[in-house]
Amino acid sequence: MNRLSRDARFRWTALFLIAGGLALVPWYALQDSFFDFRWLGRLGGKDQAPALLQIASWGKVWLIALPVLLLAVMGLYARPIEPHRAAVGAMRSWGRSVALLGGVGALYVLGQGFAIGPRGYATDWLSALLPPIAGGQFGMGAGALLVAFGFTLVCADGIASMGYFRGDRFVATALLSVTALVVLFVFFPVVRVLWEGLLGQDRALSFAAFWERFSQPKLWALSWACLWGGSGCGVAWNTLWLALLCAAGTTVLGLLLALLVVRTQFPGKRLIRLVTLLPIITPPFVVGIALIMLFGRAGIINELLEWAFGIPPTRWIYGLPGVLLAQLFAFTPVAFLVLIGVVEGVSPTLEEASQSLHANRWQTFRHVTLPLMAPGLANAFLVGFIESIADFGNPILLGGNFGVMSTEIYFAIVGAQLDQGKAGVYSLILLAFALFAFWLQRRATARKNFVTVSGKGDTGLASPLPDGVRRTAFAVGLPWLALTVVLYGMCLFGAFVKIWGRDHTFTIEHFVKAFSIDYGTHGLLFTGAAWHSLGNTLLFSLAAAPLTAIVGILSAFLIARTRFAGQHLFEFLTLLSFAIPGTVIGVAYIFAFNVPPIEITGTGLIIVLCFVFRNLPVGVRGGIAAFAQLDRSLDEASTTLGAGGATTFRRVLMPLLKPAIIGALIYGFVRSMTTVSAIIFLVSGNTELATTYIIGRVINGDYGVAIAYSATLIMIMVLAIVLVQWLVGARRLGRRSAAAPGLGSAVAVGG
Amino acid sequence: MTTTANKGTLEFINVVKDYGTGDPAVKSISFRVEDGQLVTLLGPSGCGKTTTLRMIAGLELPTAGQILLGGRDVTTESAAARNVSLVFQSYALFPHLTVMENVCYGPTVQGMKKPDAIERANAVLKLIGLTGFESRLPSELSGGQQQRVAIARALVLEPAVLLFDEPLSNLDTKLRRHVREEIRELQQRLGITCVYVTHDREEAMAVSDQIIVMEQGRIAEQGTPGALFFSPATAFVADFLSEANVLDIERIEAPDVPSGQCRVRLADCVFDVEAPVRAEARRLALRPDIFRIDRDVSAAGWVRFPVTISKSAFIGKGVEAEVTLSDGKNLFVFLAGERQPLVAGQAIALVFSPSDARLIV
Repeated sequence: MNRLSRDARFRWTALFLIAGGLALVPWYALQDSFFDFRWLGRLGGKDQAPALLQIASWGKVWLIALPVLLLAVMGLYARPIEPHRAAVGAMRSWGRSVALLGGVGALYVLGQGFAIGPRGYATDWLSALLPPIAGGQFGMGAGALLVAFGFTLVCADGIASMGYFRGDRFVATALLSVTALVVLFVFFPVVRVLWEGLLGQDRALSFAAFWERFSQPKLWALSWACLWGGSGCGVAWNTLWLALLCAAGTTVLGLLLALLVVRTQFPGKRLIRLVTLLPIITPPFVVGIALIMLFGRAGIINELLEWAFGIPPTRWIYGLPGVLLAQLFAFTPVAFLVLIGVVEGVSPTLEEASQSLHANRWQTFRHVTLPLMAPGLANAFLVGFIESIADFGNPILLGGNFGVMSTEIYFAIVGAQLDQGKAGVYSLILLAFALFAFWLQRRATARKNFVTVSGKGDTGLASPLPDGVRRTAFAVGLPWLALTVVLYGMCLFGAFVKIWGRDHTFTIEHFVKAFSIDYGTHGLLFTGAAWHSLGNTLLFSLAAAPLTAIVGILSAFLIARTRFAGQHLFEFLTLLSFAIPGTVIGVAYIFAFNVPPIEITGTGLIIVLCFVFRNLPVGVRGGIAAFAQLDRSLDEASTTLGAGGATTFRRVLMPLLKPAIIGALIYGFVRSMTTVSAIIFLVSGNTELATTYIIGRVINGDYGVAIAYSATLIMIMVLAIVLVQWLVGARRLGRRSAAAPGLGSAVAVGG
Repeated sequence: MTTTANKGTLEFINVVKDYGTGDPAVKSISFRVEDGQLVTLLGPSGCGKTTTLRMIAGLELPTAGQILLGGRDVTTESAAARNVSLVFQSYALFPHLTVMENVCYGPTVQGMKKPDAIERANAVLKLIGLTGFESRLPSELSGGQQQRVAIARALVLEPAVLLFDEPLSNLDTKLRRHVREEIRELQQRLGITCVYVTHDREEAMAVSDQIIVMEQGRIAEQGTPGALFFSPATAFVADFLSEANVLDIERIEAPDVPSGQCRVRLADCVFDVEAPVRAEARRLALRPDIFRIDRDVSAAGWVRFPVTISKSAFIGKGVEAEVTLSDGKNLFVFLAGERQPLVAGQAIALVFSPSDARLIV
């Protein structure tokens, strides 16, 4: 109600979290699930005991600092400062003490976890410096989480009391929490994997070891063969060359398609838009498998050529051409989605101005339209490049002897060698490629970010394309479209025939094999082979989507609506994982979370976290764009009406950000359903996912089940998107039905 | 200065706001707004008036200085906790909430029960003449109606001070006068303290009890509209409030100058004007509307001087002209009631009453 009780409630929550985390909940991670609550009966046990009992009975004396810190915080809270009566600066120094205690508490939880491992002190200098301890500890659990979060709240309270963030506890809490999460689950793993590359056999820092891994000819051998993906070419060059080709190809194709849709009277515009949505909801391998069916040794084209002209089938599809082709089909839609906005954004007025100055169509296109689109083209190129170097499914399926970094990292981990150092160095190189591409794009477009949409009523007709450009757009765009339709048609066909290429009798046996349900003595039995992985995938994706949306929108809020030191660094951290190829993230997660204090490999939690932080950048970007469209005075109005940060966020911003939130939800869900590169290392027998199940079937050559499963996944995602759109759309329409004049804006917002 | 402070008394003491750009947006200003008054912060864009308003609202915290509200120090109090409401320039109505929900927002987020909030909101909506619009969305209201909702939303909290940030700038010209009168009438009826920001001098003079003219982060002058209009002390206020001509003049010391007067020379004319507030004043402010064409009708004591017309235009309610004095100085004059523009190059004589001239710094 009033200010004081709001403060008090916040402080009670923090204290309760810390106290509960110390006294009531198991401090360490449990062997079996936390949520079966079997630990309730065994709270005295060595593994299940809460922190206070661990100190008293199990010799974990180093935890004693935490209850001491809690008492100190309570001491400060018992004597709060009344802002109106206090001396100048008293509030500030009180707040500083609170913030300090909270910060020390949260960091101590983390620090002791890293400092003391299963066999006592983690490093020699620690055991030399500190008093000896008996035994060690394993990964932290629910208790540690609650205590760390509680101390974070205390720290936020202190910072807000010092007057930062206009005294808003919500903003301070959000900033601390998101920063902690991003540092812990993006920055730390990446640093950890790069660190691994610098360690020698004896686990000591060794630059020689790094150089040995780095300078292999397997990576850097350069020959003419690189141009066509022949043997004898280094893997690093392969990756770079493939990425450049893919980026250039997808950018050109995407541009032509965008021009086709925006600037011509092409009748199939809706079809293009529909087709371009497909790859986003397509599991990896689908395009690859379809290409194999079409162009592989036993594929239709080869059979046709052999039958008609006696040309013997070749294996050209396995290698650079096949991978590139698959990537072009998979990633052109992404480029298209980037570029369609760019093409639409070119102001017709400028083109009319050019024509009125007696430039012909080609000159106008060449000297006005194209330069205006340059930043957008650079952006599309960057996206194509990153997608290509991060791609794992296509190279592993179609690569043959043509190795790229992402597959090499995979083999370094799962292969017979299990060479962590190699994986680390390869990840470092891949990350360097990605960041270099980012830097290049930034540099290229730094001074060219034209505002093409001026906000003034921009009328005028887009000038017609030059004939050459128009013809090229049709000549390239139409076959691409046709081939895409054929590829997806092939997939569907493949799902319903016995053995692709040999026995084309209609069957639903693949679906039966994957999704059969029997009726047994205990009721329904999901006997299909795929049920387990499908259930996991749905569960983890559904868990990850809202988390992605929440963290993403909160980050966007902090970036767009608050000011604090280090804001650019914060923004960089939240967007960092976009530039990190999935394989690198996957490797990084095992290295970082395979050992205490955060020991979560093999659990579903690591997969959910991986989903969340990998999809975070898109949520953040969408959120920032959405905030940019909301006038700041709305927040301020809410504030002056007496609402705190949390209330403003919940009652004003959230409802207005609904489209962005829905977008982040759908994106988070769909990407989680279809991702493979990042989680391929993270799944265990218990946590197998749809994509890893499919990859297993593909490796066995069992394309029928793989494709039947993929088709099912696509249907589920389409249904989910339609359902969400319908739910949200219906609510908005309900509002608008009372408001006929507002319909126009509803359409605009709905996009 | 130990005057009593009522609920709505607002005081700024040496308040500074520095965004760290090297040039503070507000440079140590002090002023006092009496309870129940409407005070306008007037000035050109970038003078710090909106920053000052936002500091009253608590949306910006001062870099230095003190803000007192009702005698209590609220300098570091957050906007949410401060008993002040702001009517935004863009209205900032929540587009997803109806009129009623918008007005109830403040009371409910502060913990009032919904039925009580609705009761309060109904009273305010009735006061402001919006009964019957409760279930509309802001997008279904006209600009003037949206403005009223914004005012109702601010008023429902019964704030100690109500703030207006250029409330008329989004309305068309005809509506402006009407809304301006409504705001003034409402303010006087409720006896509520208001601080009003605008860059429009007519608007400022029409609504205010007091005007604070700001210039480059400082207070140039403060006073009633009449005082500032007729007797400005600075060239900036003279120019900003009445577009007065500001001319360098020569002050003549002579024994026969009546007390309370100063003798000055302008071109060939020597005349006495009221002694300035600030002794160092060496410039003369002459409002354009104090001049008449001399047709041998000038009253006794008026100053008469010959000029040459350089430009002239008829603007309906009179004639504007730029004229040159015999010493080469230029004057801008407005001659009310004239029906024909003057011919460029023509030589005429103008008159004005010295009591309309002001010595300023």
